[in-house]
Amino acid sequence: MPQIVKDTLENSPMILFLAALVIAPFVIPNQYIVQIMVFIGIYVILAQSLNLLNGYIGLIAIGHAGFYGIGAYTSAKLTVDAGLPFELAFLCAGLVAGAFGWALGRPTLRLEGIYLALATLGFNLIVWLVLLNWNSFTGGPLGIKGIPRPTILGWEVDTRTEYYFFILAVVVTVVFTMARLVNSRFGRALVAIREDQLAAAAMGVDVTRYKVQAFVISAFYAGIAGACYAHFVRYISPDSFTMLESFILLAILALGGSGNMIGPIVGAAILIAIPELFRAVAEYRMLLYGLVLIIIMQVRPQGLFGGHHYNLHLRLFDRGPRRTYRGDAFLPSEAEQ
Amino acid sequence: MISTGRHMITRRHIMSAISGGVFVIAASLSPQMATAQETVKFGVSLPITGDMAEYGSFIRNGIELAIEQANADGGVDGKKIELVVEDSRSDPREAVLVAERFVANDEILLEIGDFTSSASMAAAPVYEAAGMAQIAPTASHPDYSGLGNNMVRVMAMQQAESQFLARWAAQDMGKAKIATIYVNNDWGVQANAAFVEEAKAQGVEVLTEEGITPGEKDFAAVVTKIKNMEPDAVFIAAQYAEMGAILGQSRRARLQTQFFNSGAPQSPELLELAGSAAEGIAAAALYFADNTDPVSRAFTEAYVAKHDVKPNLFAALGYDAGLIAVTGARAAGGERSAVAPAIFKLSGFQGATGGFDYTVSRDPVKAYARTTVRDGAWVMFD
Repeated sequence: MPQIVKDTLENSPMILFLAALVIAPFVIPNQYIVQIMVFIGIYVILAQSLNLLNGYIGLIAIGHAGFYGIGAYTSAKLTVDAGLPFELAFLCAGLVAGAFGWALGRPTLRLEGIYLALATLGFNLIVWLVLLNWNSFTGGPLGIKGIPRPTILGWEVDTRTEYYFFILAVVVTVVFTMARLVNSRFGRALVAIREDQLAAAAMGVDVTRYKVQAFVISAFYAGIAGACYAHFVRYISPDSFTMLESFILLAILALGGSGNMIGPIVGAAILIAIPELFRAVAEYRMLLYGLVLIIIMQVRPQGLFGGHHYNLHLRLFDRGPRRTYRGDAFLPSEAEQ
Repeated sequence: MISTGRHMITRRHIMSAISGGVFVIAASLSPQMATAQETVKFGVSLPITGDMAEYGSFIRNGIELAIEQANADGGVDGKKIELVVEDSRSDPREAVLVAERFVANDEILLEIGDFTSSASMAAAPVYEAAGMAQIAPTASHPDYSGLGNNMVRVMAMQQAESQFLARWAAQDMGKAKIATIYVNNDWGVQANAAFVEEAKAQGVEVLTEEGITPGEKDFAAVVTKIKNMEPDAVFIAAQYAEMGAILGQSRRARLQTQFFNSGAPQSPELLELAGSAAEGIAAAALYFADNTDPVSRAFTEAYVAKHDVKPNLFAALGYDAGLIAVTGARAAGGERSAVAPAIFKLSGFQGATGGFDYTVSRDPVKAYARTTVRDGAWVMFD
């Protein structure tokens, strides 16, 4: 059997899943469901971005909505006020968020564990307060309205279904680049730092540099997600970038499982869909939402897809020798199971 | 053995929880059963859970009262009106999803909600694209009604209330030095800006403008700062939670001055929270429980009969939104896109929060009553 066929077979579940997503809006012509899927897509990007920090390098960052908000406001300001084309504003959203990631990361990444968590929490709070209070620039609590629909090289992303495909393309790009990244030398360095920072440093891994780089990359993706949100809902206000959003992202990782590519996707899909599925019980739905979280945490404390058995092996694009490396093979939790 | 037994119980519990979940999922996914054609459905998007749930429930009570009365009065073309209430938590993202849900449901004729301007405005493009009327009981953002041809505002523009208060303070009470405090959200910023603008136009010196973060509880710093400036009056744009705290802390700091309030007039909760510190504050009321206006009085009586408590402004606005929705539905002949145009032809509308004409402006202009607190009760100011 030629290698290409073998690789295709090995990747066939993913290819089938992607194909199902592509035909989904035609099979389910319900705009409401398409809309939920768009939001799931946005949260997949966010969760993947946070996963790089919390899952791969083991930094506890709990203020990710800050970068999300910066991305959303950057893209909105650039298209509404500066009249920049969408493609450029979209990219700038990521770059500006990345720059903030660098500015936050440089001084705070010397901190460990709970201290870093508090610093990122503080960052989220500051971003929210600035968005809320800088009336002349961000519109304060009035937010920014009239954000244009995306236009990509002449294609105006107009309907919900078109936006769905746009988000799908972004999500696939994000997941693909992330998968390549974490399976590269860079990704292995991150895992090494997570497992044992001292040992990693002794092996010649520049710990601080990798941490800052991971932080910037993560912030970049969160910024991109912000731009996706801003141009989809087309009206943004600080309400959407509170710490509650950061906690939702943490819950997604806790529920789906972190440190691999599948967990954040599953977590985002479940956590965004659950409140919608439970609409029938009206005022009790958030109660059920909490209950589901508790049950899953009881049954699978590492998350539904916790651990590294669930990595995406993109054989089709990975021409090197087969790697048997498993990221968390040395985790005590893995040994106990 | 014991541990196995416990384990089985846990598992059975989980199974029942899962099957319960599956049932709920199935129930919510199954297409709404076509309940014949005897009903007309109104979508209601409000915070039922979360931080704002309290306001959502007041508005919901008001809407339900209006709909009950309309149903007793023949419904819409002989069909009963049914409310489909969905929880948005006033989160813009969820409000968009609720909007999409309503729009996708052919049986829903129009929508009432959401509570915050942010949530209403995020959902507006969805309603506008579907040509469905979005009747927002409380949205006060100046741009809300301009977002499309289907956005119906029920609340009076905040500017009018603030200007009314500023003129009251400057012209009638002769206050020359005023400090302001406002909640830093979309509503508070505008309430404050309009007050300050009108006050300055009246020749008043505005000493300071202090923004407070929504949900804050300690205002000692703000109160002390203002006390040292010795103002003639203090204008506070805040709902009862913050307002009550500010009044109580001002009393403790011995800041004695005339307080003006926008945001909590007529609220019984304010009286409870602030106690005697609320005595003498001045507020402009759109809705006033002891108002002698017949529509307003009928609403108050019906509400008290049903819920055994006096309604507040939110309930009254919900009631008015319900009345407007019913009027629109009756004129629209079951056609979604005809609801908003029918509403905008409405003139001489009388609601619990006063009368106005949509033909004059799509932003209702309403009259205010001067009220104050005396002996622990809201009364007319004299």
